Amino acid sequence: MKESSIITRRSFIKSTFAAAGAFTIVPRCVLGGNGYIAPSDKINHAIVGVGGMGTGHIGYVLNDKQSELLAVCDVDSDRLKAAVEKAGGNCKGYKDFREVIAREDIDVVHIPTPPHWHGLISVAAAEAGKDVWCEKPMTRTIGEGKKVIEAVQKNGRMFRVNTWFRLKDELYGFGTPSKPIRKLVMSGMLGWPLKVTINAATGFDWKFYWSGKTDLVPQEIPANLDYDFWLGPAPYKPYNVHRTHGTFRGYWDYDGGGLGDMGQHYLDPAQYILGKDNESPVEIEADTPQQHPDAVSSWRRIEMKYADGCKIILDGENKDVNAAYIEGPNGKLYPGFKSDIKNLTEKLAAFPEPEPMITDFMESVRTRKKFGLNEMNAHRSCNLINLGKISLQLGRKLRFDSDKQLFIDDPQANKFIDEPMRGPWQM
Amino acid sequence: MNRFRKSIIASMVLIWLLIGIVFADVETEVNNVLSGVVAGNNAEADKISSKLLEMNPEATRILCSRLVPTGTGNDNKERMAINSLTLFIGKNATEEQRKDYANLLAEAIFASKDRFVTEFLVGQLQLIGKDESAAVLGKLLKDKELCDAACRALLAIGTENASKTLVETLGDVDETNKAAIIKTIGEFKNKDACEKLLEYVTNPNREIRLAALFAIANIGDDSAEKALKKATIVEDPYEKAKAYSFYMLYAKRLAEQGEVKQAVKICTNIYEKSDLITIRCEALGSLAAIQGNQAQETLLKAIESDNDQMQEAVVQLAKNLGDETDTLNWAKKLETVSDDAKIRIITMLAERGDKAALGEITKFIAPEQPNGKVAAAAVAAIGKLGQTEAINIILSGLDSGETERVKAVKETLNLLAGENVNKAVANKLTDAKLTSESKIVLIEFLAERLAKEHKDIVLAQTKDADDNVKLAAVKALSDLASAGDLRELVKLMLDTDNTKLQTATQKTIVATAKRASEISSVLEAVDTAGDKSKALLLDTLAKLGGMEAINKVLAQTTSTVDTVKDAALRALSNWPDEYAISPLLDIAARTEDSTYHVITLRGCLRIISTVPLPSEKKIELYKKAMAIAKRDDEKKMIIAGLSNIRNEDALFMAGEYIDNDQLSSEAALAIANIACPENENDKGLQCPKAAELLKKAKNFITDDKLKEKVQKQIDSIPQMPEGFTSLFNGTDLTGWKGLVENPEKRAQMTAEEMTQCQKNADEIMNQHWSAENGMLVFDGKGYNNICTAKDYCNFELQLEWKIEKGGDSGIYLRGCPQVQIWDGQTNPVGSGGLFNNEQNPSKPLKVADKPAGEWNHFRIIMIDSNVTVYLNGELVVDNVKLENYWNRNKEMYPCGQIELQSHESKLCFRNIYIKELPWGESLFNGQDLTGWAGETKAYVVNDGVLAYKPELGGGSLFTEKDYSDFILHFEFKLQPGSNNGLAIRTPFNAWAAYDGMELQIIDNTAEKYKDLQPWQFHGSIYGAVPAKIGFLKPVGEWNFQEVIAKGRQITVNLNGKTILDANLDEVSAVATPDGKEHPGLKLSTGRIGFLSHEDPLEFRNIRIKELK
Repeated sequence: MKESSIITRRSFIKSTFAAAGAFTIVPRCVLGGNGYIAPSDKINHAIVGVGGMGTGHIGYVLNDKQSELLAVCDVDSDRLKAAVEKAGGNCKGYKDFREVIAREDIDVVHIPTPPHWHGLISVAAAEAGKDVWCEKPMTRTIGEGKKVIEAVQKNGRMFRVNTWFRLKDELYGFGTPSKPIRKLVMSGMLGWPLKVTINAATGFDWKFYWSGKTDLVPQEIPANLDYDFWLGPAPYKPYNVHRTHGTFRGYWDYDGGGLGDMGQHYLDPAQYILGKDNESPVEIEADTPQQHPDAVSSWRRIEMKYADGCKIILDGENKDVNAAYIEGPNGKLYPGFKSDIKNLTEKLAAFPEPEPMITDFMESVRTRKKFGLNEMNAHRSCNLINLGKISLQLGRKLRFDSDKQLFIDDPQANKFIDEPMRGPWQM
Repeated sequence: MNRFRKSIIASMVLIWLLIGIVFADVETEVNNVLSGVVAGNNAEADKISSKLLEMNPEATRILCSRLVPTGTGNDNKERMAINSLTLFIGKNATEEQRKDYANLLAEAIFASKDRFVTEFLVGQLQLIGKDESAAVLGKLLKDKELCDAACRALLAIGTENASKTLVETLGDVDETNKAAIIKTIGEFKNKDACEKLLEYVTNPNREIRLAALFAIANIGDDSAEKALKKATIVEDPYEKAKAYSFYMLYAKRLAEQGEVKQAVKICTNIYEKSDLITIRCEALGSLAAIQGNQAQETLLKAIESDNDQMQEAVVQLAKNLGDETDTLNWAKKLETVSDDAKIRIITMLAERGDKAALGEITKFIAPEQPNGKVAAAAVAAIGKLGQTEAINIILSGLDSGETERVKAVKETLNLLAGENVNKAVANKLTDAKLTSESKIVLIEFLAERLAKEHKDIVLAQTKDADDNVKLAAVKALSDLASAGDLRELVKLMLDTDNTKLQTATQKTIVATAKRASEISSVLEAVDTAGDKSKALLLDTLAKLGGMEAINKVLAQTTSTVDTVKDAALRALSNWPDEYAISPLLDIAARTEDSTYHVITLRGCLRIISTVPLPSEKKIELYKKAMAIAKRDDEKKMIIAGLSNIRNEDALFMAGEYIDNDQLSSEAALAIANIACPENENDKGLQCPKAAELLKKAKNFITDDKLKEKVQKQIDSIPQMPEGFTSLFNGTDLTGWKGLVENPEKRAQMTAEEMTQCQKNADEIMNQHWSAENGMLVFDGKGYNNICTAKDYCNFELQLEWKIEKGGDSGIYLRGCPQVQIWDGQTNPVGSGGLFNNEQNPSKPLKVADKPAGEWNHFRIIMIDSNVTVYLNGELVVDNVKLENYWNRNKEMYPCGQIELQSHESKLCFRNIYIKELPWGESLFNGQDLTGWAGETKAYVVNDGVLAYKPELGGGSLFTEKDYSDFILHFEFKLQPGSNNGLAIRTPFNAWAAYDGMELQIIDNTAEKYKDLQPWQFHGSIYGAVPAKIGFLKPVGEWNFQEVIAKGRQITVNLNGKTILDANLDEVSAVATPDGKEHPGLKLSTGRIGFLSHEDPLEFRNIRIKELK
């Protein structure tokens, strides 16, 4: 069957820029109808949300010679203006992400918005045939995550979440990358089941400065911010600056405090190392002061147990000062790859390596091969955060069906899996 | 925290308990339940909820009635209690309790007047409500602002009534809420609504239009199709994508309802007709979801597309569909498709995990397969499907020698486990037909797996014709070889002409010999080798090090063959461990050959600087080397070596060369390096000598950055600021005393009591406080403040302090708490605040603390009652009044001791300096008697001291001015038996004791005054009020006296001790103890004067502050 080219703008750009003679690198699809990007083509990016994290994404794109930033989008006109200036070149500013997604020349949509927008924009972008580079945490609810998977896969899109500790860099504060730890786990030398402890002693200090405030006095909405749009699918609450830019993580409506902020950085590698990319814990229990229904506060401990007995301990108060990062019946592994197993490195040589993964998202975009941290495994690691959040909010032990991704015998808890969205918003 | 706060908390708890006993109505009970601030844990929260549940309906009513619009008051406890109750009931209560509670919430919703309070309550219903709540929520739908929240709650409730309510209200709601309602109706899948919804699919408002399309699609009623199909014909790409998604959602719903045929038709139609690749992919995806395995046929066809995006979508969908038959169909498909598609199918089959595909895939490895990338995909797939068992097939990928395959084999091998793999790889390595590239892959694999059992096969590869293979084998052996292989390796090293190979072999020899602790093969070879080989072997020994090896090398240093001797000396100077140091120093000292002198000395210095030796040993060696060094460049090297030893000995040694013209710049660099900090956590050397040498060194440093660093270090070395005196000498507790009670209590104590208590307090101080390494250290046990022996009035105090994590301390000023010190981590408000202030600010202006464990610097300025504090250079208290903690009704004491508070944690202080600041106005200028009148000739001024000399005459000295209310400070020094008096409020030249007021100044310890009346003791208001005795300093020492005359209250503080505190109104002018009349006591103003008797004495520092 002959495929007709989808892209009309390609020919438009071809003629315009060929005439101007400015571009030596020809936009991708001009070369032919073959739907994806030849190595010599530039990849066109759009960034939705240009606040704290978004500014970082502008850097990602500008620093990549093979990429071009064509659109930035924000509901804060001041931020948008600054981003357009920073991006320079052909970059255009938008307030409404739907207009950005409607542009046919965009290949990759970055979503460094607050988390309550992640799922919604991801699905819309995937349906419009864009690849998605989404900020962590992947989605604010478990249900949204499932819908992102469906949309990404049905539309044959590439998806990544913007954390990287399972990839090739050093695993946060641990001191070595994740891969050798995965190798150690696969070797079976530690025994089974395993326990991973996430606390300061193992290299991962939980940050609790993302706490919300209560009794916020309503303030006048600044002229530069479309607050209603900023809220989008989240319930309407009176404006106070603390709910928005820079401090939104302190409110359940948009995120989940330090757990939302660092959770995927900390937990995704743990999930990878344990080999739990296709499942979720079956028991979750939090030790926490009662949480306010609106404002997130700190907590002491969250324990998650998988069906086979493996555990992940989120030690918020850094109580287990002597904990190993990962511990099994036959051995322990501490930061810096220290272990109570003698000659560990030498013993490990005899074992096979974990499967390689693609660690450059642009490679995924070009080759259409799944990125190392994609919609599937990132959804599972985001589940860890969302399960943790729900256990904090509900203040009770939860049992979870890993396959159906629903709580067992707790209809009320299941209301947190799919939370209805405000106004016309839906996925 | 301050210990005083604890008791406050305790009493608050008590008050709460009492309240609980006294009242018993529900409201109070609710209060009681909520009193614990916020539930500390889940169990507590449940306990609170279960108690509240018992108290329902009143509890919920009370809680709801207390909700306030956000920002207008604190209803946190109530919100948290309601939320907690909602969650508790959701899990633990009976259906009846739940329903009652939901109705109570509904009641509260009706009563609420604030939108956001209502939304909060609706949010609770969203979590707890069922059918009974549909009605109240239905009413809210008509409210423009609340409609949305009600929609969400109704959706969560999910009952038929909820759905019906939405449909019925749709027509009545505000335009802005239509989309939300329509969307929600769609979620309910209520077919009855479809007709109504169809009206909206062409609505001009996009939100409404899209919501309606979603809704009719999700409901899946047949009547919707036409509209959905039509909706896809739209310009806007966003809307178009959405419309297609809805159309396919509709198909999915149809399929769910059993109308698979129609669903398939829709998707197939989209797939075949759409011109958008993404939409076509999505259609395929939908087909796969609807048809399951039956979609395979379409997928098998679709893979023929030349569009990569489509191909990828196809294989992703095919991956999980069907059984072995489908696996085989896909495998068969391989033959007919493009290479790109082949790669995708092979990769998909691998992920599919069905071994049935192995046979077909294997075909693509064969050397005949022209496309290496296809073959590579096949290799990877076979690895994944066949694992270890397929090892030989995988290895057969090497046979063609084609690069892509070889690369794939290498990557695949990495993923395979087991000894069988090693064995097969080793075996394959014996295949003579392999290309070098393939051999190298296998050799490297064996090395990576540390497959020592196959090292002979690897060793055999060192004889390969290709040097690259040899090189790979030699490198691999560095991990695999054992002692027994050394002889052969040595031979290989000596025989080859290829330097790269030779170097690699040497590395392998060194690694192996070290691992096996066996160097005899190398040693023996030295004896039999020719001269050229000898040099290489000596160099090898130099890389091995150790006693045994060095002896061998030393023997060769006397060789008659120059090249051998030369090699031996060079080996020695390249030696890796300390064994070569002495021999090298020896040779350097003895040799007449200047080249040898240079290389041996240099080698020696390199070793000293690199091997781990104690610093003192290194310095000793450097001294020896310095004695041997002939030339300046050698000396410079030694000094450079010194610069890596960061202690005072090295500093001193480097300092010896700072004045040497030829070496001064090197010495300066060394001094800078030694004394300046290495990193942020380092303080560098802080001794005075360091400051002195750094100042010198600075003159010889040209680099601006370094100069700056040096200056910074000089500045950081604490020097006593100008005009200050040190309160702590760094070696003992001279100038300090233990704490006795508080100023108020001390004032009540007699001299005997005071002496005894002070003795005890000093003992305690000596137990817990000590001078360590220039620091004043508290051992962390108990609460035992240390106090300055002296009192201070106005002053500037500078000091450094360091606490441990969670530590707590403070600086008491004039005996009063305090400038707060605590761990900024646990007390985010920070240190430096006047913690105990109640009326005036008690918190610091900003947080300037350094983390616990680091030094902090205080600069505290106290003038009158006001305190200014700088913490680490930041202003944290700006001229704030320090309240008198011990007696809140009283002004701050004008003078008093400085105390370092201890609070059960280890504390360190250092560099404690004080500068006394002028207080009040001076009455005496120290040079002459300006401002004084009366009989002035017996009062002699000399060097700041006012001396009374009876031999020059008598009479009294008076101020020229009158003073009524004032604080007077002066110092006086008695001689044995001195007697004088201080007149206050006395008319000029009047008889102070009666017509004015005389405060006695007298050595009442003198034998001749043993019969003195109490009202004649030092400090007494003569004849009227006796003072306490026992607080005068020994005769001949300066005493400090403070006199406060304020209204009718006269207070005398002698050397920090209140000896008189009298209200003149209470002193009857008639019945004075001396029985005489004292009309002067009634005066409110008059002169101040010194009254002469026949005894000499001296005064100085006479200052006054008038109270107005």
